[in-house]
Amino acid sequence: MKTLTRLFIVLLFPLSIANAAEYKVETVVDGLNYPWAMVFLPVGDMLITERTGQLRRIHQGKLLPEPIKNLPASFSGGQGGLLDIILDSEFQNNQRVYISLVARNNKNNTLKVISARLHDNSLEEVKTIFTSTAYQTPYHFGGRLALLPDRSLLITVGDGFDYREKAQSLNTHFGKIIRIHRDGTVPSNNPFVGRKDALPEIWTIGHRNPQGLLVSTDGTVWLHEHGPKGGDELNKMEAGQNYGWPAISYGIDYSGAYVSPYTKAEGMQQPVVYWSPSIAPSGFCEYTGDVFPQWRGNLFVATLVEKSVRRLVMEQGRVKSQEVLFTELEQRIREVKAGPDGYLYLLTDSESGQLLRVSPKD
Amino acid sequence: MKLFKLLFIFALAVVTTYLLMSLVGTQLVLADVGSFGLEVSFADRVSASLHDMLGLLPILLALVSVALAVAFSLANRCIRWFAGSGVFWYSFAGLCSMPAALLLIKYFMGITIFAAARSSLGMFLVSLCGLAGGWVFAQLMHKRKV
Repeated sequence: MKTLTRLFIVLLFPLSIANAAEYKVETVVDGLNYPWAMVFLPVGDMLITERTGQLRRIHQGKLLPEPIKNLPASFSGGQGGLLDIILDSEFQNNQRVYISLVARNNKNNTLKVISARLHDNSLEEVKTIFTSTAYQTPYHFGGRLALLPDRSLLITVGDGFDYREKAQSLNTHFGKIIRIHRDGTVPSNNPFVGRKDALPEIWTIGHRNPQGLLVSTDGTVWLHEHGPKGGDELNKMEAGQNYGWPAISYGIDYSGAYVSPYTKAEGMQQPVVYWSPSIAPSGFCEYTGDVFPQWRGNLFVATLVEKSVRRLVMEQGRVKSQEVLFTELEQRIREVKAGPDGYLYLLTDSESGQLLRVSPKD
Repeated sequence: MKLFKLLFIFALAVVTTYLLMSLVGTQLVLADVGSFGLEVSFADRVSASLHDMLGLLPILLALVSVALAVAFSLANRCIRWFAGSGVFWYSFAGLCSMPAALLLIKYFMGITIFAAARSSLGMFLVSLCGLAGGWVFAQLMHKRKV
């Protein structure tokens, strides 16, 4: 019996921790107020969004005391606030950034995306390039941004919790991935352009609360989203597809009832992988650095509930194996990014959040 | 003995409202699922209803119990202060109990925790489930005042 058990462990071991690495975790900066997203500037600085509405700059490893100026006000109730930030692919020339935030007007909450030019410690030429359908709930905004290789902008929009059925309708932004040009106009080759019953900026439908969006080096668009109770998903994205929520789901409602008794349906995409019980996936990145060569090409998923980062070893568009990292920190991890220096950076989700750097153990 | 009888009748009222709410909730959710083009068979409908009756137990049963306890206490006061039919006051209290509880939770949490109650039709049907619980309570508890 013991021999059988050993054989079982030996067979499973390489699947669960393929290319495991020894690492150390250091605190770069602490005292961040619910940090949500980060970007690396070409000069070596970093910008970090705080969900409570401040955009902070880290210069030479130190958090500058003054936030970036001229950022529009955001509504930070519930899950709202200042959310994602990305750099323009031509940032070196135009210093342009794209920022998602939740704005409030007369109890109506909207997810907005602004385009602005970063000049010293201030934003200039601030322009709203996307405004979502209004929510009357303070939850499930999505809010992740990514640039496609053709430089159009993808935006994730959540279902607003109380509006989940609208994730299947084409005339609202709830539960959709949006694709627009960087100036806010709609690309003429979007999948629903020309349909009278559809908003032309919609790229995919059937999402719940997508908080991870990644265009990998091979051009594949990956998205992960929070399920309800169970059923968090990793999806491989294709224009015009329906990802099923809430018609199909591997999770159930928080109340304990079905959202749907079905997990599959014709015309609706299956996740590449799903997580039950929920891990609450948030940030997302692909590791392309040299510091951890054994991690190259792996996807990293930050998680809030599991308090970890999942390392996904990919093979031909499938998840070959997973490793659960950093649980020893016992911190909700909001964001994970691979730095240009090859280290992995994490943001912890708390009132006094930290920027952590993961490097190889000496 | 009187307390035991009161608790037993209250439990029957709670179970009535709970079972009806669970059934209503499942059917409304399945109606939405059907509207997305999925065919919901009778067998799936039955198994989903049973699933939800068990799944909702921890949260919904607690919610219904608290809501009806508060509502029936107020109804009892109203009967003393304004007289009138026990059936009327307990049914009326039951009718108001679930919308009041769900709207109160929405006020503080910002969301509707019982999915079926997000629509006007759902909230109306949920109200009727509370009314049924109130009616059962009145019939069994206050027969003399009917």
